[in-house]
Amino acid sequence: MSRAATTLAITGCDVRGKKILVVGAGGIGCELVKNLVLSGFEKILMVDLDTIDYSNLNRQFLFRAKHVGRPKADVARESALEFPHDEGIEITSQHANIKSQAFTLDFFRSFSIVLNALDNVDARRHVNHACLLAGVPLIESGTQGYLGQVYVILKGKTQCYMCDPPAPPKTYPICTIRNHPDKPVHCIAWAKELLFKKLFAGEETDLVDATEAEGAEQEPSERAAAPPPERFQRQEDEDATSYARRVFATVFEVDVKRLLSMETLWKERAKPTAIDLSGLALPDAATLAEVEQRPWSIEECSAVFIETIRFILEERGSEVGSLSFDKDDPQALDFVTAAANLRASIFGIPRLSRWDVKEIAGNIIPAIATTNAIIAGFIVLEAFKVLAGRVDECKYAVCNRHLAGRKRDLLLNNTTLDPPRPDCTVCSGSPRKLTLDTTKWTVQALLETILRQHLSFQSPTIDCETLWGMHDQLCEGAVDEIDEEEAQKYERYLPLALSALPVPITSGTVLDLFDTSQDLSMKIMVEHRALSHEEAPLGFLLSEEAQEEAKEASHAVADAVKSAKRVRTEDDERDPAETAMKMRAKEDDADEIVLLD
Amino acid sequence: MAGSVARGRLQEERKMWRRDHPHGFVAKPRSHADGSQDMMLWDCVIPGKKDTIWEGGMYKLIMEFTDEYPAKPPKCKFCPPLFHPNVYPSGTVCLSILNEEKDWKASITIKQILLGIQDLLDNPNPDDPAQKEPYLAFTKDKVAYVRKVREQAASMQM
Repeated sequence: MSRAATTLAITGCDVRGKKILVVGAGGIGCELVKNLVLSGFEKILMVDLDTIDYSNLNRQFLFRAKHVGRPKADVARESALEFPHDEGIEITSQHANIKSQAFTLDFFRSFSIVLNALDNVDARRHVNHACLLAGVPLIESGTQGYLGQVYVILKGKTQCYMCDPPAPPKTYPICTIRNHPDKPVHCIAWAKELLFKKLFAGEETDLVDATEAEGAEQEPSERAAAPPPERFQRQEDEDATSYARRVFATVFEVDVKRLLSMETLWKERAKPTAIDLSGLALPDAATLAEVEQRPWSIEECSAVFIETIRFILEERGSEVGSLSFDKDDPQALDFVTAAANLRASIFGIPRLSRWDVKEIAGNIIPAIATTNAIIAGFIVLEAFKVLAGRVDECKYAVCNRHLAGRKRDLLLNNTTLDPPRPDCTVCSGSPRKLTLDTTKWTVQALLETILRQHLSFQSPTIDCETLWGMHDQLCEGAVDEIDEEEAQKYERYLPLALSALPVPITSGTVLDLFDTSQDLSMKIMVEHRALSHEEAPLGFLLSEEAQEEAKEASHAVADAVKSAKRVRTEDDERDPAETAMKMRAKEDDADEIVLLD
Repeated sequence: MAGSVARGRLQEERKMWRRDHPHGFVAKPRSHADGSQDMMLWDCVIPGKKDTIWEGGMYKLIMEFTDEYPAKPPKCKFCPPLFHPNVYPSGTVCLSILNEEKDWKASITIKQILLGIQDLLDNPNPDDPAQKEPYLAFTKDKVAYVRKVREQAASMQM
């Protein structure tokens, strides 16, 4: 019996011929593709933009040391094919960014289901958006240490990724970072985001600020024309160590004294203390290379600060101006550790070890292989339900961290999927679909024939956004808002074909139409297709109101559920199916799978 | 970035602004040379309030939004930088409604931000100085302060 046949017998899901897109071949992706192969899936495409690093090997088990440097998607494919698998399996891989324009709406539409195994918000958001527009079911997943979750996103039926947007990463207001830090993390942000970027990335940061008095005597108009003299510029005849000492004096002595001169800042705060470099006996920075676990002293930090600046300028000079902070770059981490700790000392904040700084500066969240494995298992279980049309049985599955002493804390749990949030800006108000030949239709024709004649807009404004987030405006209804340059642009656009615009309109582009004079607004998704005269006498097709589409979809779901139920009734005599059903029933009743005590 | 909450909200902000905005103010997404627009970067103009020493000036300001907007506030930066106690020499505005740890709320609109900054112009907060020279002038030498602000207003007419 083939794997696919076993899967069918147990789950009622026929996986043969189903095309699966797996986005991401990292911690979850490796487990996932293994599960898919062992479950008998036939057609799998893996997409990942990354290459294998040594640090991946502790949890991404399809990769070995010999693979380091190679594309993850390719190696995951090769390794997965080593598992026992059904005949006729076709795994393909692409070393590419899923957000690239090579992946069109038609690409997404060609899959039965899309499985996310991603590690970043941006890509998740993009795939969520693309699948909603393409009408393809998506299973979203994620892990963080012991925690993990899996849920199914079905347009119009369940919450999408953006219905409950992920909490933004913590950042700190510039005033706190710059003028009065009170936590180690403020000092790390200052070292990493302001000083490091200023010195090595050639970026203008808000480091140049209140504490800078040069240029203050100039008149505002002059000051605007000529920015303050550059205190962080290395002079031509200045050797690297002298420069490093000058930077040290600037940020840890001169600037601190200037901050002190602004008395109101310190009315209710402890005053900072400047560091005088000349009074310090510096140890040899090289002796600290291995000292990771204890915080360095002020003298040690000073030595490392000066030495790393010297090293980067002298040994890595070609990178200066374009260097970005990388937690695995030893000099970058040494520099940030030393600078952050010196600043912390100035403000009376505890110093941290290099190890602690690395965790905070690198936003490191430990990844746990078993959590990934559990979550990848859940993804496949949910995929079976979706592919078998039993979408009403889909669950929001979570992996918790067990807390000792609380018996009701479940390690693995599930709840029902929430309906879409009605005010979600991403999945609510499904746009009407406009099918036309974008190489033939011009902006003028779109405006006249479709917007004015067919949809009765009087003076519409059209904003458009492509699948990849490029944005343009095709015309402006509020005439008093237009300046001359804009007017010329819209004039220039009128005779252009939609596909020939600077931001070309293709399948998946959403047009946001509105008319303030009528308070009329509407969203339309463009679908590019050459239409025959019989099919569309007017040269375009516009779907009716979105609700009807949603209704159709729910009918389809209901039908699928009915037929699935029928299959299960027929299968009743079979042991595996019955067992599986019982297991499902148990899950539903108890709403729990494993109970740890 | 397509499909983000930030984009949807900014589109809404744009519509609201078109329907109604305070006189003399400008706020619109930056247009690139090829015609495409950057929704995450808005060019704004704030007029100095009538009957204040800021009157007559049209102060240009850039609003930079991130994908985390509206959970996080936009960065507001005067360009060219402004002589004002609560504006950093880089032009960045220091204002409690623009500080996510203080008074920023996702419901604050672009219109409210611009009106808030207009109000800050004539009502500086000496407890949170951001630029030394205007801070010292404001707290120690009001005559010089007023003179500089007036000169700035005259040099920043449209």
